[in-house]
Amino acid sequence: METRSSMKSFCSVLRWVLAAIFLYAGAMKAWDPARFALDIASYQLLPERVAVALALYLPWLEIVCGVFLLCKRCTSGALGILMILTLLFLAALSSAWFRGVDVHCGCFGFSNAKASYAWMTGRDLVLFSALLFCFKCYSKKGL
Amino acid sequence: MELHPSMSDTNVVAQYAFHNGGTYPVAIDSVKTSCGCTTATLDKKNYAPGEKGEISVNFDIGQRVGEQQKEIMVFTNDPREMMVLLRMKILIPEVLRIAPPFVSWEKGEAAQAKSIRVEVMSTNVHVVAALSGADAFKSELREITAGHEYQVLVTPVTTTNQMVGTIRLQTDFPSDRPRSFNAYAAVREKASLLSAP
Amino acid sequence: MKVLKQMLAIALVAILPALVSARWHPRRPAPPGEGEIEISVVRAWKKPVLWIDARPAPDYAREHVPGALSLNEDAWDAGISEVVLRANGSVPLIVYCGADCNASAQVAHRLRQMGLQPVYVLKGGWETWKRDHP
Repeated sequence: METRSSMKSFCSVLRWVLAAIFLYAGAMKAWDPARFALDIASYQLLPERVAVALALYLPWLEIVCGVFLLCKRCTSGALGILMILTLLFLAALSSAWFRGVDVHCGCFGFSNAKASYAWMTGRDLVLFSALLFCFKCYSKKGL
Repeated sequence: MELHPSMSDTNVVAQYAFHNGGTYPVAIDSVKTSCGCTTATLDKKNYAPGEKGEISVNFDIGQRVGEQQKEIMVFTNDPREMMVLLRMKILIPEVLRIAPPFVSWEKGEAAQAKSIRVEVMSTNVHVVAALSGADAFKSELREITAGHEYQVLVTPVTTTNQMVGTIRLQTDFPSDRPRSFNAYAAVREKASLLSAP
Repeated sequence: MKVLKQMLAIALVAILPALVSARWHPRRPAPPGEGEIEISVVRAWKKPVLWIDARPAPDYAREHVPGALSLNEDAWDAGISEVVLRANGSVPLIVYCGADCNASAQVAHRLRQMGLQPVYVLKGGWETWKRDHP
């Protein structure tokens, strides 16, 4: 019973932290979508039209997911979307790394910082693990 | 008008023929081009009714690549047509594909070599040298596949100061006046995160 | 199934603010394929930009946007050094030429190929800037 209660608290804290991360990341990108579009383009994976559309949409998707996480509404759905986004970003990063493309992360809106592939990959693997753990928490009944 | 210069061409010339279809003489006051690379010449300025003429437009290719669009404005004293706009499109063939064409280091960053991949886009062209125009950068040319793929390693001597250099990629084509193409290298100030909006 | 429905609902909810952003955001991306930017958007940024004058040298010498650097394909090597040093990724580059010329698009394209970013082309060119700064 105590273990379950501790787990419930831990999952709540993790949910809030993840919500805060993605609300912040989404807000930073929503602040300057033109810059974010260029960051997406720096991966040299997508046509410009798609990069522009994603630059306008993805920040708001992150923000909405963050809000739902905070409010504990549609939690599994929000976590599912964030996991997919993180996986897609990891795939794009791996592709860019393999091709030796010099990318600008754009993850938190500051596209000035040139990417350290190892650091970004490591960071996002940790993020994905946290999302997955949280998803498993909330896919069980009672949480 | 669309022009297709060959790889060995350093310039192309287009001829725009015209005639005075009116009933009174027309004078061409001036011909203005959209850049210094394009020059236009006329045999004479005044044309009687029915008289034909030709504007010769020369475009210098220089270091340009890809599709170029140039405008030539012809100013006349004809009140019905005081300005005529001529357009020319020049499709310059790509001899070398240089990726990336620009490598940079931040001030204080480790002065490690960065690689530029050079792909030859046609036959019978070889990259024979990669010369750094500034003492601040060293360049080393490596042949990956003869006549097709090369690697240029560029290394700054130091990253303590800002500096910019040109890496001139010399080819052996055409044999009488071989062309060269540029890549660039720079050491720049660190970009500030706080300067984002 | 429930999770998928939730994901679809969230994805749909996010569309509306994205559409609003696409229409009214002062820093919305330039129209795809053009890289053009309106002078009103530049003004709304309220931050420094690096102006690049792609007109022929005599036009630049006569008058240009204060602080603009001259860079055109006639004298690329001469002009690129200063641009490269000043373009460190934190300042947008805005290229302009005359209203009817496309030199700015070509210069912008070459700058993007070099990996410099962000690079925009001023819609309406020099004439638009002059009208905005009488």
